[in-house]
Amino acid sequence: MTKIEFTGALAKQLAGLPGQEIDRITAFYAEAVDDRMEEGMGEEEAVAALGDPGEAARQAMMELPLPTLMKMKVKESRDRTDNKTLWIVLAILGFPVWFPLLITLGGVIFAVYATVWAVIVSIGAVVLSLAIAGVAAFIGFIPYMLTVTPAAGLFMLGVALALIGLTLILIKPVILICKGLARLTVYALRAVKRLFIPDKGI
Amino acid sequence: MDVQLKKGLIEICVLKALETEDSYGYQIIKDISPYIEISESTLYPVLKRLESGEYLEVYSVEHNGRLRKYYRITASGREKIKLFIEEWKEVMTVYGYISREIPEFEEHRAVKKSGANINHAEKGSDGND
Repeated sequence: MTKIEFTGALAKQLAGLPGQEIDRITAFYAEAVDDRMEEGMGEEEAVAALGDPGEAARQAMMELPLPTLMKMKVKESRDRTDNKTLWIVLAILGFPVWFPLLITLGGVIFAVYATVWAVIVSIGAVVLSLAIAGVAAFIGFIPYMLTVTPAAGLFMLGVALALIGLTLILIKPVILICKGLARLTVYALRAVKRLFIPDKGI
Repeated sequence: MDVQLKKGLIEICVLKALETEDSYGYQIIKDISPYIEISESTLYPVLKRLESGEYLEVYSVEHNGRLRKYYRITASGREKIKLFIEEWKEVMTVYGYISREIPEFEEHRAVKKSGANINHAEKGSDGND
């Protein structure tokens, strides 16, 4: 395959995306071929080192925002339809079907993010409350000793130390859980994006 | 290797390749190829992600009549490298334990079975503790 053939196949896979994005991606790969040829590699060899244009296109598309990919899917179906008027009519008639589906998809994505965020905030609030209670008990145990009984004061000191200890133990696992949850949202988003990326060969 | 793990490792390798000096696509691939499987298809998304995360900056330089994209690491990029080294210290300890213990266990089993005194050569690990 020549450089032009590769970038051509690449651009074909990226059809429907904004021109600026297509240019950016093809320029990246053209540069990769040029750099290799500059070091003495033949054109065929340099292009072969890039792998499959379809795979390159798919990987590049995964990094684009979801709305861009959705618009690409719409454009693709529009370009595929020979009768543009028919397409417009069907799109309008089909509105009661695709619009609720779109809203549902948006709702599901929002729900995933909102749930994850809510869980993270709740866990954080629990740990914060433990910390505040522990510090308060630690500050208050001496006055408590003096105003109630020494035994009660000592008890409060014990409670304070237990709470502070619990907070310290929980900090690491909580951070891990939050990171894991954040990663979950990334996986979810990538799964949705993959729905919109064409899986066709050249 | 797990895909996401590999992508994370490639990210950190790219940042490391830019640590001492700015570099460009093909040079980065040459620098990190000995350590991890990398090609342009995997590099492009990684560079994009690092750029949107502001771990690196992009700028163009004219080279032999064409424009070549160069990448420069940022302060957050350097932080990310430090964080990786810190996080993986524990992984390396576990790896040391796992890879060291098993051959010794096998050797103990062999000694017990034959009842003889086997003169075994330690392969670079620090002897029995």
